[in-house]
Amino acid sequence: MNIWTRWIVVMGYFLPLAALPQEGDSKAATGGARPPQMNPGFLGRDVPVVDPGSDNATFDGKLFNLNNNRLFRSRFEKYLNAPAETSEADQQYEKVMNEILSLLSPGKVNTENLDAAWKLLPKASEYRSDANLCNAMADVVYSVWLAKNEVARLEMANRTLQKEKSALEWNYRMNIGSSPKITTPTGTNPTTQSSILSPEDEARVEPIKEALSDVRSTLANNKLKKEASIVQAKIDFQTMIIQYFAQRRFRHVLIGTRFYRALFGDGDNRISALDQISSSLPVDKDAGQVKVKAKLDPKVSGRGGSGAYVGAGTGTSADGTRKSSGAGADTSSSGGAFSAEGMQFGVENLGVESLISAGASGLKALGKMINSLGQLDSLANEAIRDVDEGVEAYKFLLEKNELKSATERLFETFMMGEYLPSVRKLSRDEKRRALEFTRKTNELLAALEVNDLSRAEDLIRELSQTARDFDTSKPLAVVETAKTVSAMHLAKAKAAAASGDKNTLETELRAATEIWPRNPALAEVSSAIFSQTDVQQQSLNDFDRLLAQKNFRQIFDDKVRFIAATAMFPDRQEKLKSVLDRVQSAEAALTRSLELAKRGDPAGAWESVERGFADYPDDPKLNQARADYTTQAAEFVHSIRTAQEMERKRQIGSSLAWYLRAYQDYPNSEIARDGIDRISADIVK
Amino acid sequence: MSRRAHQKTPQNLFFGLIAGFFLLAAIGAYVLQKGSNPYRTTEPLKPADYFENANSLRGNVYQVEGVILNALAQNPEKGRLFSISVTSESKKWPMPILIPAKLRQINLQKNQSYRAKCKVDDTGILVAEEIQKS
Repeated sequence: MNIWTRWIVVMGYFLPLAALPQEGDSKAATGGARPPQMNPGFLGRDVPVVDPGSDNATFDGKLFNLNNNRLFRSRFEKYLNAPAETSEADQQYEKVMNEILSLLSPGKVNTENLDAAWKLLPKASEYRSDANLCNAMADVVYSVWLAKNEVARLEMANRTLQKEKSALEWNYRMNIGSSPKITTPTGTNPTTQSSILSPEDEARVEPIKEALSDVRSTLANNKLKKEASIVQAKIDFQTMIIQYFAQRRFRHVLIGTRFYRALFGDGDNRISALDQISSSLPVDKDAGQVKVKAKLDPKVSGRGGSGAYVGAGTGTSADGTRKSSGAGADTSSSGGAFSAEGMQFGVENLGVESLISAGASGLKALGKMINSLGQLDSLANEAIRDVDEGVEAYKFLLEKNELKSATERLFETFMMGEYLPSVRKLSRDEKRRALEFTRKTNELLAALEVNDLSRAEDLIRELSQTARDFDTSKPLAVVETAKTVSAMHLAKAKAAAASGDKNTLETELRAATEIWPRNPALAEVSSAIFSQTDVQQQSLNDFDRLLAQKNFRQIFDDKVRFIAATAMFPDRQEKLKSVLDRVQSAEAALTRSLELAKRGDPAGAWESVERGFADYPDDPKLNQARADYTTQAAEFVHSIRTAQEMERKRQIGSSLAWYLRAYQDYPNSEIARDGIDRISADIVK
Repeated sequence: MSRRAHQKTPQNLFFGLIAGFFLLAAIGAYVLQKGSNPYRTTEPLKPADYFENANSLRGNVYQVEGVILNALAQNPEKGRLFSISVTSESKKWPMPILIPAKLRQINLQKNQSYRAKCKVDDTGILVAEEIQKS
């Protein structure tokens, strides 16, 4: 594992992955022309899925862009709006920091320079950019010195104790040397014997023995204290350096590591802080480990131009020491359907204790990867170089008008080296363009999130004009697709409205609204549909009312409206047809009667009106004409009416005679002819 | 004087004979006329009454004389139905008349005048019992 890989791993523990929001989120926003919550997905909505290609994660029907969160956006925008740190104070601060680093550099470090560097730390902390970190470091260095003083004091005490111990041992030997000795065998071994002092001697050496024992135990304790004090000082120092590293205060890391080497000149640069932290965590071994369980029993089906790939595999590295396994699924659909089921996913033993246990394991693993201050030092130097390079790349891309790449590089550089001078010294003007691009990108994301496709389209065009490298194809494709789908739903809604299918109308309108809520055509179509529905309903109400009133003439006069309104109602359509036929017949009779009257044939005119009257007796026009012609052809009309009356009374002979008389008066009479034929046939049948 | 008397007798006789002739002719004409209408004993139909209410005349027998207008219908079993124009009170009254099948041997032609003895049947139709040209 190279140093950069380690750096990424380290950063992964403390920082979320950082990158700029991408226009690819548009697909996420609409889910390929549909709102994301409407897409069931391959694994359903209950399993969180991360798409590394677009930095998107989905869970429970919602879609998150890993980069598109308020924390990152606001922090970056705050930086872009901040003035360049090129003030006198900033320059002084940088000068102090450089001086400290210079004093502590490997070639120059000595006691005097160490003291001088330490004295500069509080001075550096006076500047706002430092955030008092140098003060904290000065305190830790001072603590190390205190620990070292304590060690010296303990060593001095131990030397005194050693002298006292020697004196006590001599006194002890002198006191027991003049007394006779009684030797007694002990145990089963005849060669092992212990001296037995007389009671007088015993009483005399006992205080010496106790004093000697106390001195020995104090000596041992002091040795332990000395070791512990140094170890604790090292751990405190290492913890501070790691913390600075995590905070991306790389220059403070360099200062810290140089102080550390100068303070602890024993050559022991191993980092034991991580192990110390992990061992200090309250791990409950009985809590067990968090287990993620997944059971795959795939039942996959695809149809109609859809594609799906599901795969799983294992691999072993060349040396056979590393094994990996993975499963992947790539699904896509186009003009077809895809479905998959049979995935079970679950988490077992998830709790505070198990999470602490996992954290401790992680720290131990990290401690094994980064086990010396030299590594931290290298990583910090590499990060500083990379940030400087990122800033240079940003400036170059800016010159080339490649705003997308420039902003991405600046964002990455900012996330890594937020506090480094090269980043902080960028002028507002230099950051302004990136700020505008970022704002527009964020606006585009917001527009796509709420499916404001018109706004999204405008923003895409603006971005393509300001940023030469902004790829419009993907977001534009999504916008156009969503628009097309929305238009299709609207067309279906129109058709449903025309056919009176209210359920489909509602469903299609809702779908069109979800895909493109601010679609201008939506309001127009909705308005047209609803006004059409209103007009249609009003027309139907009028038709029903006029039909009940038998006002067929009004229906006939307004026939165009009623024909359109009843087009989708067969029962009403049938009634309308009947009404129109009757009125049409009456109209024809009136027209014919008018012609006959003009020719001086009032009987024929009356007869024409009379025949129309039979179909539509309530028509006022027919009634009026009938009354007029009755007076003009009174005798003929009398004959016909008498004949009809007699026929109704079953006075066949008289009725036929009257019909014959009417026929005699008006030989063209169809009524008379029909009556004669009808009765004659009845007589001879 | 006697000569004038002698001449006066033949002249009177001549006039007497002529008068007698005319008298005989009148008597003959009357007798002949009486003999050509076989239904003279049957009451003629009053068309106005028929038009007013034919049902009230049901069962009555009338003599009807008029001109055939049109054939209205026919049935081999029941007969032929004609319209006949009867003149009464200086008006022409078209009326239906049924010539039953038993009178099928009689040819009735349009615009020919016929006299018939008719009975008003249950439906108020004039049904000819006898008919002949008039």
